[in-house]
Amino acid sequence: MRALASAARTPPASTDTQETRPSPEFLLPGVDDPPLTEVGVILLGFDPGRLLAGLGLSTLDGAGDPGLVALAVDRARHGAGPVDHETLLAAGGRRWRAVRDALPDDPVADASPRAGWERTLRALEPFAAGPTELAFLAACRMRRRAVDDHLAAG
Amino acid sequence: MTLFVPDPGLLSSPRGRRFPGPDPRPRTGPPPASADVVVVGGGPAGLSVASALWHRDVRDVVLIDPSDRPCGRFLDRVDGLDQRVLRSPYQHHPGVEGFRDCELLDFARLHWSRLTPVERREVRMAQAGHRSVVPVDVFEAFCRHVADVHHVAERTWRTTALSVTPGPGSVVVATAAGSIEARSVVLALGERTRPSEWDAVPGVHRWDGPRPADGSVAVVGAGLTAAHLLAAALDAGREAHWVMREDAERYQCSDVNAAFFRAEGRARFGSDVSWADRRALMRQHRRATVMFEFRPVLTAAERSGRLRVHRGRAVTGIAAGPAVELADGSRVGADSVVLALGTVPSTGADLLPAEVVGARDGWPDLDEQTLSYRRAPSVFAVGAATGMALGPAARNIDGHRVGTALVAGAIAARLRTPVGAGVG
Repeated sequence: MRALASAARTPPASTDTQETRPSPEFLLPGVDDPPLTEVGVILLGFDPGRLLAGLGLSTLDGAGDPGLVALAVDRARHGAGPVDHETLLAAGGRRWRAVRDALPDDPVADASPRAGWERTLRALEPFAAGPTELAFLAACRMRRRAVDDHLAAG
Repeated sequence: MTLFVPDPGLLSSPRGRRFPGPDPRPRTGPPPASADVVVVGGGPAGLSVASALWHRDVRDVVLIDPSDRPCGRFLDRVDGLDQRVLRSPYQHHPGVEGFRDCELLDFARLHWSRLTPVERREVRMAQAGHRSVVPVDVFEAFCRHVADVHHVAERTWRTTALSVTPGPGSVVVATAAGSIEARSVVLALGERTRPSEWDAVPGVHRWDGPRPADGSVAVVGAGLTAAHLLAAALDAGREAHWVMREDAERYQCSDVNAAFFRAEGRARFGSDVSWADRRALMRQHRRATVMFEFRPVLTAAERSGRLRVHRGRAVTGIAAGPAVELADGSRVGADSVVLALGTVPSTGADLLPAEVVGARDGWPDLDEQTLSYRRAPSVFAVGAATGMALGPAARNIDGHRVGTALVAGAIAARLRTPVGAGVG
């Protein structure tokens, strides 16, 4: 008997018996990845407007925690934050337009968003003033087409 | 085959961590003299309906609640049991669907660095679609976030509602701090402890009140509250008795069959289903159950003799001492007795005239389409009181979301109708 709660990232060692039938176990992402990776996977699911607003907030307040900035953007979207959502969007758009053509290409297609995220973070580190801007820049970079389309649509 | 093994470790989240973010607090002083909508009750259901109204551009809302923070009474009850996790899954949470708001699961993941390894594992289990639990700390922080983003706290007055009086074109809500005239009122009153004839017996305590922290204890009741009380007593090294009418305890993931969280389950409580059939379904599906995670703890305690379980014993009385008298003539003596007999929905009878509530078998007479009181269409109910319209999941947090969407839609439509144009 094996607890699902303790499902490992690595499948159990193969045995002759296991090789003849598919394993019923499945893998869950690890729980010990860096918090920035967990936040990054969520950012990759955000719509472009939220990514730009987060980038805008990170340029206004370079310090901080990307997860908390994402929640601050949620507040701004509802008119509840100290900064107006449109102001954040404009600041993010300016920053993205200013930096996007300087960012390195990412020719490697990776089936793992976590691996792709971590690689992008490393590549973009020189372009960001802190971890929050780095996180939102990386998310915009990985979703560049959607972000550019959003900006082009005005 | 991958089997789920209940892990008592899931029950032991830390409590009292301060997650960063706003700390919205209610206002004090007299509430406004008028509002489009008054919501009575600031628990998960009241918070959800206020949030849903905000998204429907209904902004002139006043929420009345005696607590000092969002979902305060709910959290106080949870903390009173030293309960560290909620068995509502991550997918069920206060708030509104359809507006791309941050949901509870993502909220937890955005605070990844603040979660323990066990809590992170719970998140992974929820992501995989498996049974999970939600740490109370995470839930409380999320409630604060929901109250903040939907501007609920700034529209909340900390006071107690005294009465709700429907009139021809408006409803008057009398509170301890002043009266409010509203076009619509939503009652989000939650549940109250089931009254008992033994409450006044010396040595007998209710689960939600003060109770001794030492000495032997007899807990009466078969549900999750009883399990929490027993686990805490055993953890403190106390001798414990568990008295239940049922033949056996029921260990389950959820207190409600999952079908009732879906439309097909709710349809079993549709207006075309007879009252008798709905009552029978409710009796069948609203039963005392205990989270799976308690099974190893309670089973081991019973085996070791630290816990004595008295199954299939109806309580006929409680004598001073105290001693629980059972139907077979036996008695269970202990230094204290704690009654964990469950809760009953608050129908609104404490606030509304009885003829408006139209209570039947303990349930208010509601229009199933709008959840308004049939005899006062300007007054609505959300949460536990809507059980006979929405099914047994109405008392659960997911049921609140379904109910509040209905009510917010109905109220927004009413507010678009000029006063005097058929609004009762």
